[in-house]
Amino acid sequence: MGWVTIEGLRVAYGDRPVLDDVSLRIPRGSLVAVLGPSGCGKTTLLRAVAGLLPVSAGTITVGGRLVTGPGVQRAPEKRGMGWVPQDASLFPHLTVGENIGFGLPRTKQRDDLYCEPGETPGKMAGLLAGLTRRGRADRTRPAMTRAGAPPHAHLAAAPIGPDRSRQRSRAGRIAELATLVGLGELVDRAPSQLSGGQAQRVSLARALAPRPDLMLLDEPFAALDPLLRSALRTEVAALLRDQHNTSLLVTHDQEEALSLADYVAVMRGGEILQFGTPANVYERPVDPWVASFVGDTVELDGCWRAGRVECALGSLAADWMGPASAPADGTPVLVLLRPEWLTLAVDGSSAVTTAIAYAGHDALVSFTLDEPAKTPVRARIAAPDLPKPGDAVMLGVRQNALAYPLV
Amino acid sequence: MTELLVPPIPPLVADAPAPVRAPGWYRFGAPAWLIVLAGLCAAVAAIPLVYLVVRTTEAGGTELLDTLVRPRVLQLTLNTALLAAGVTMSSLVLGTTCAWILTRIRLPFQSTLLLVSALPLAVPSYLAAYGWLVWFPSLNGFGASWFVMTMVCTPYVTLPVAAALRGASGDLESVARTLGRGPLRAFAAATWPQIRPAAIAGALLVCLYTLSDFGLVSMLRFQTLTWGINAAYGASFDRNQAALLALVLVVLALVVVAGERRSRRQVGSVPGRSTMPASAPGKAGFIYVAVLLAAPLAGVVVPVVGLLSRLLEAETLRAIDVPRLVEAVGATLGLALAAAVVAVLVALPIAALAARYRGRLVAVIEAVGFLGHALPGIVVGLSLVFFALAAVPMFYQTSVVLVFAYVVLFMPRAIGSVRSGIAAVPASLGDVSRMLGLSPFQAWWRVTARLALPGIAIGALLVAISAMKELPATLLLRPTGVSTLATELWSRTALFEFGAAAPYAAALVLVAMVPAVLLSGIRGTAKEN
Repeated sequence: MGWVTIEGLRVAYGDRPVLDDVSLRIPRGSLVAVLGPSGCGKTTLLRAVAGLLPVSAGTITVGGRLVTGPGVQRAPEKRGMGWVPQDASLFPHLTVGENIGFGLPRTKQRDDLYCEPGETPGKMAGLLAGLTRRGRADRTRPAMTRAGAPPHAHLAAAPIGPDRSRQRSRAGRIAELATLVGLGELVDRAPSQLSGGQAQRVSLARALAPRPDLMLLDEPFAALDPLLRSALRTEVAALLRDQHNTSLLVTHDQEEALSLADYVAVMRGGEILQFGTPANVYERPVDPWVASFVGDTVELDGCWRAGRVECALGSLAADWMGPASAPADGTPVLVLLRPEWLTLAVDGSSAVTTAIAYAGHDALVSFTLDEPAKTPVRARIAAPDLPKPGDAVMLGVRQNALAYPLV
Repeated sequence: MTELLVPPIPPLVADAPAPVRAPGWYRFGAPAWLIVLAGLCAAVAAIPLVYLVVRTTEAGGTELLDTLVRPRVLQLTLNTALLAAGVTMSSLVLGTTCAWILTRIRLPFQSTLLLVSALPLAVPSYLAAYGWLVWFPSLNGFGASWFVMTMVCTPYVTLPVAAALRGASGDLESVARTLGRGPLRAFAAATWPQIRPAAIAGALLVCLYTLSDFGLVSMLRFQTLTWGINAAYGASFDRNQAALLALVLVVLALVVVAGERRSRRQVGSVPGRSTMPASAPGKAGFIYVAVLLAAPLAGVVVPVVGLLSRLLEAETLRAIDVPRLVEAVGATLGLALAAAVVAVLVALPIAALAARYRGRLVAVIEAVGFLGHALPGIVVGLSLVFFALAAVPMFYQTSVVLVFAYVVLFMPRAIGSVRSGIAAVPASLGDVSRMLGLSPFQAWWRVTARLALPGIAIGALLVAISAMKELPATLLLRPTGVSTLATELWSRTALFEFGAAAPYAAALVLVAMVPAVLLSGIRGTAKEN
């Protein structure tokens, strides 16, 4: 069972459904990336998990605590989650240090963030919860994913981890976090004096400060320039892992999702199409759309014949990716390959080089096959082996092709 | 300083292409309690208009029609419409010309010139009329009213048009020139469409200001509807006629507002960032300066010099009734302060709603909140007299009703600046504070309100300034025995006691400067941050 469990989540703006029956299980300590084109509902998913918008159906539990469910809509401030928005959103009237310490308790008698599930009855009313003192109890019980816990209908809203009761001094924690994100020198700066990357680090430190059970990152690197982006995201992913944080990252950048995440959920039109490890999503996409969304593809018409496909590149060993078991021999199928699965070979299909998109380390080379004439294919070829435009080459395939049913 | 004087006008040129989802908006509907609260606050603004309609229709349809077609009523309506049309046209021409000179001609002391051309707005129309009467006691009628009013109102056009011209892309005009248009035709074809919404918005302000003006036309003895309302009300036997005239005036004002809405064509913003270079003034330089200075001279210098000349006469100085003056200053400040606080409190829910949510209901609530913008002061005053007598007699002739009138009249200014203050705070900051453990009200208080504070303060000061200068509603609603600087000035001028009026006029100018100074302070620090 996942540390964070999302089941049957539905969200609608007016009559228009934005999330449709989304389910997701996030193992403790892992980084899950939700990958999808803009408008697919991924940010909505994140906001629903955060409690920043009302859901129409579904449940969300974190560490065994029910935070969203029938009759329960725990207020965002009571969920124990950290939030890193796309634009950093630092409080402009506070210094870097005050920003980092914003979520830390100011006094020891701080109200706890805990309430009974029945207390805040769903929808908008739930968003306003926390106005009353009723139901806030000391959070003393240790958090446990209770093994063999009954189905979510019986889930008690169990208290979050004991970490927060062992708060170190506020100033100490701020300094610790500032150092952690490499900004120890800058705690007295105003946010306006920071660069984009620095602001995003402060935003991260601010979210980490109260030791959240779940970190939510909403395209945190999208607004940064490309060089900074790749450096910072590697650093942030390492940092989140060191802190043993469970994190949910939303992104539209497939490279970011594949390189950072332990698991990737590919979303489209409010539904999760595929959930799996990056390699799984890239090598064995559930359908052609996912395949082309997470990377370059070569698509050919083919014909299924006993575990192989016959296509323009000859007869290739293939895996059937359709929903049912393998089809009858002779069924037309869509054959899908990754450009890097094609290689220059001694023996294979003969082709002519037509264009080269050079990228330094390698190049995406376009060929047209001799037989059947004019069929275009692309291959990713390491720079030292590059042919020249017009060269005749032989193309081989070094991995099982993927066969999908025709739609 | 100029923001202080001109009611907020929506930005005309977007700085950047609109993002996919504007950062300040929530896509979900507003919480019910906020809609209800904002709706109640907006309803407050609707009381005078609604009650006026109720009261007028109570009089009966036939009597209404009979009164309406009386030559007297037609004459007043015609006078009002003529004056409004004349002043609007002349202000539009003069204001656009001034704006063009300010942005396209390289004159010395440019920023000072801009400030100077805004100055007439600081002078209430009746003060300008008083100043001219000091010099020419025989001034009266349409010509005089039209002239002084134009001079006072021109900055309402000059300022927004100058801002629009500065933001307008010069590329289009350059393209038009390369395609064979002369300078004037290129301006008309390429630049005018870009500044047209600003010019029309400015013209709307001029028109509404002229329609609702009472002090100036009364002093210059040009009989418009406002004058007629006051006269009919004073002759207390015919209050129905006062109500009817008020209704006619309101209809005129609403027609103007509706006309402006219709003609406000949406112009797509032009991405080009280059502006037309300013050219050297050449030999015509002094003509440009003369045109620029016409309004400030006639609207400010002449009246103020007239005022000072009277004030410094030995006879006047001897006759100053200091306790009475102090009392009037105190009443003016107290009423303005109360109005500012209440107006901001009432405006807050509406502004918070309008800044964060959209939808038809939100638009309606905001529009109702802006009703006071179109309601002449004398109409609100009259309607509240009726309303107080009928509904809350214990408040009749108390400051409560007067402050209420100020709130209705000037709430739009508060809504405008509070709204832009809140809208400037990204909604994501609220989300972040919720995620960091703050309740909605803590998040609002510690983050949104804290960051929107300059906008809120500016709203309060704008209301205070306007309330200090307000005349007709104050005349109708002030508690017995209470006089403000404006009413003292008016009653003395009405009796041609120009000398006795001078101290009150001077005190009014000085007192109205206090919030102005505070305001520039807020703006200054806001800029530093």
